[in-house]
Amino acid sequence: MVDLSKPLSPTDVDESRQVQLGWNDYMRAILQDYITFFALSFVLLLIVFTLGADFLAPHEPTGLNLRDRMLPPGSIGRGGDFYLLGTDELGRDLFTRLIYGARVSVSVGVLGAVLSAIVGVTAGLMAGYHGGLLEDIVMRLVDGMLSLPSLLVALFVLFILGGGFGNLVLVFLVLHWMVFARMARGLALDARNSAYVQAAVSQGCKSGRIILRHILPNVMAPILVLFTLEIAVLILSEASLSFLGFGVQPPDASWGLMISGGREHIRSAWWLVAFPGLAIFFTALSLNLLANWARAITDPVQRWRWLAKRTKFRKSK
Amino acid sequence: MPYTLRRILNSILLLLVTISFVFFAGRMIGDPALNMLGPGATPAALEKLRVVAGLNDPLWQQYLHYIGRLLTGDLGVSYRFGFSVIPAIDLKELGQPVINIVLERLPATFFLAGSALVVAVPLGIFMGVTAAAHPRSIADRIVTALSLAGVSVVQFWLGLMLIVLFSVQLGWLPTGGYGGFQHVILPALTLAARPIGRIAQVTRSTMMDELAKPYIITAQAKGVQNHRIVYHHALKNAAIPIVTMIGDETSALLTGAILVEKIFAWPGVGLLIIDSLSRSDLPLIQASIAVVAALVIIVNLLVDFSYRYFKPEIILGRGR
Repeated sequence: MVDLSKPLSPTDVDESRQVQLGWNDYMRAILQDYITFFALSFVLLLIVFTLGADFLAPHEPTGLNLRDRMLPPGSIGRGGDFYLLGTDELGRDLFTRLIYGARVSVSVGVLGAVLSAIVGVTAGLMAGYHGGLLEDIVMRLVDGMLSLPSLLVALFVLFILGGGFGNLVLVFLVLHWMVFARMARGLALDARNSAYVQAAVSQGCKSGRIILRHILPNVMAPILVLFTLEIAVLILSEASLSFLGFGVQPPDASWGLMISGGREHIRSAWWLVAFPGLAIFFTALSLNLLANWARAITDPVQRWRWLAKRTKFRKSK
Repeated sequence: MPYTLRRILNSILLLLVTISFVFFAGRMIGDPALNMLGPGATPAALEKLRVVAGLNDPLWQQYLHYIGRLLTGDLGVSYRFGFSVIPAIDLKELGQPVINIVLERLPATFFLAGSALVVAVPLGIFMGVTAAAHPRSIADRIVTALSLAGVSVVQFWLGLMLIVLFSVQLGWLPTGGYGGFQHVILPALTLAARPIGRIAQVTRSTMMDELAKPYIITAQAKGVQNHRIVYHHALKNAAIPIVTMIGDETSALLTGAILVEKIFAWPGVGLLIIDSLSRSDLPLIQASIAVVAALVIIVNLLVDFSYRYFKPEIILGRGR
C-alpha cells in the first residue's frame, strides 16, 4: 500500500495500481488504444499468415493460369476463381504471393535482428561492464562501422558474395550489431554502479553470471524496443537490396523483389507494385507503433498515464 | 592530441580501411583480365593484358601500387567506359580515368540530395516545432502520423507511386531523367520523405522537453513573444539532437540516392554504382565507393564539429 502521509509520486501510484490492475485491465487498455490495437493485430495477423501460409493461401503460389493474367483487384477469373488483390503477368494470385513473400521478408528481418541483437548485446554488455581495453576496442569498432554508409557496403558485399537468404542475413548481422552494442554498453555502464550489481559482486558472483542473470534482465526493456525497430529497418533494407537485384534471388519471392518485378508493368497494372509496397509500409508502421507503445509501458511514469487514461475512460462510460 | 586532429586521423584511417577492404574483396570475384575482356577473349590477349596492367604481380605489390597512385588522385581506368565495342588492350590510352567519371556524376547527386535537404530540413523542423508548441492538438496528431508514415515507407516504392500518380495518370511531371526544375521535384520529394519524418520526430520530442523547462516560464514572464520564445530560445537549445539527426540523414541521403536515382534514371553517382556493379567494372566500383564513403565520413565529421558551435561547454572527447 502507498503511504498516504507522504506526497505521492507517479511511481508510488503505479506500484499501488499494479496490484489492482491485472491482465484484463491491460487487455481493456489495449482495446481502448485503437492505434496500438491495430498495430498489434497487424503483426499478429502477419505472424499467423507467415507460419500458416500453406493452409491460409487461397491459391498455389506458383499456380500459373495464363487465362487469368493481369486481372485487377477483386476480379473473378474465367475459371470462377476469385482474386482479392488481382493477378500478375503469369496469372498468379497476388494475395497468395504476398503471403509467401511475407515469409521471406519477415524471416530475413527477424533472423537478422535476432543475430545482431545477440552479438551486439553480448559485446556491448561485456564492454560496458568490464571497461578498459575491451571497451576501447569494441567502441572503436562500433564508432567506425556506424559511420560507414551501410547500404553501400551491403550492396558491395552482396555483389561479391552473391545474393540469397543466408548472405543477406549475414550482411545484416555484420552491419547492424553495432546499434545494439552501443545501447547495451550505455546500459551496462549505468548498471555497473547500481546497488543490485554491487550486492551481487559482494556476494561473490562471477562477472559472467552478473551480466547474464542480473544486468541483462534489467536492461531487457529498452533492448526489446530497439529490437522491434531494427526488424522494421531490416525489412526495409531487404526490400531495397532485393529491388536492386542484390538481395533475395528468384524463385524465392520477397516483397522487394515483387515490387521490382511489377515495375515493368507499372503503367498497366499498378496493383503489382502498390500492394507489396503497402505490405512493407504497414509492417514497418506497426512495428514502429509497437516500439513506441512498448517504450511507453516499460517506463513506470508513462505506463501509469497510459493505463489510467484508458481505464478511466472505460469506467465513465 | 587535440580532439579535432584525432577525429580527423580516425576518419582517414577508416577511409583507408574501407578502400583496402574494397580492393581485396574485389579480387575475390574472379580474374580481372577475364572480366575486362569478356568470355570470348583469347588466352594470348588475356596474358598480354595481365602483363600490361600488372596483374601478374603479387597482390600486396598491386595493393601498394594502388594506394600509391590513389594518393596522387589516380584511381585507375575503367574497364567499360570509353570503349566502343570491347575493351582494348592498351588500357592506359583508351580507358577513361575512373575518378573523372565519378566526379562528372557528383554534381547531379549533390543537386538531388541538396534539393531533398532544402525541402526536408525547414519542413521537418517546422512540423516538429508546431507539434511541440501545441501538444495533443490536431496539428500534433497530423505531424505524428505523417512523420511515422515517412519513416515507415519504402523510399523506392514511394517514388514509383509518385510516378504512377503525377507522371502516368496526371501527366504533370516527367517520369525521370535529368533536366530542369520539373525533373528534380519527384526524386527530391521521394528522397525527402524519410528525413522529414525523422527530423520532425526528433524536433518534436526535444522541443517538448525544452519547452517544459523553467527558463521558458521566465521568458514568458518577461513578456517575450511566443514565437520568439519557441524559435529563438528553445530551438537553439534543442539544436544538438536535431543537428545530429540532420547529419545522419544527410549521409543517409547520399546512399539513399542510389535507389532514387535508379527509379528516376537520375544520372548521379548512385546510378553509376549500380551500373558499375552490374558490369563488374572493378576500378569504377572501387572509385565510386571510395568517393561516397569519403563524403559520408566527412559529413559525420562536420556534424561532430558542429556540436562545438551549439554547445560550447561540451568538452569533446572527454566523457560521454
